[in-house]
Amino acid sequence: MDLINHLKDHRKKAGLTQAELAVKVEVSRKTINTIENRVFVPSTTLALKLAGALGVSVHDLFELEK
Amino acid sequence: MARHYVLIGRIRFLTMALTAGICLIYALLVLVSGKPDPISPWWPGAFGAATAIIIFLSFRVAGTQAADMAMDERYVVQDGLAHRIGYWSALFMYPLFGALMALDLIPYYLVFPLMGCLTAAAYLIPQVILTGWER
Repeated sequence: MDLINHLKDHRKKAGLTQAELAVKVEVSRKTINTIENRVFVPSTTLALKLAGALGVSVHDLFELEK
Repeated sequence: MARHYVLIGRIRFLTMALTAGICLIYALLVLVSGKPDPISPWWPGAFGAATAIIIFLSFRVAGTQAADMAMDERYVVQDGLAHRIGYWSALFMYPLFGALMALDLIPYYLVFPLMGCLTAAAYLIPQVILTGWER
């Protein structure tokens, strides 16, 4: 079962670049890039930080492919 | 200071890539020349020590936040993968060079410098490739 993420959509909706979001959640820009490209699956902690930074719930960012 | 993570990530990439290159060049020169010390045997170790010092100092100067960002969870995962690749590659060298020595394809006095340099390179090369250049 794959993990689908909508991080890129929500980031763009928030008007943030990858680098700006990276600074907000204190990771590197490459980490944001690899999450958006489904190369890297973030930890629960980072998922919660991302959701908090974008003002959405974790369920809005990530869902399991049915 | 947070944006300094890019700079220290690049410093880490360049220094580790340089050390990997020196190790590979040394190993290659050992094979080509047939001598255990084609250049000063201190070069690979000196580069390794300099790399450690430069990375430590640059991370220290950049501050905790930038250092944490440069060593975030993706980096830790990819560095861990590089460690695993390096570990198994280094272990594989023992039977490989043992067989090469047993078959008289390589003299024993070349194996020590070769394995020393290749063991370091076995971690450094995947580390540099997997963690990549910070943009």
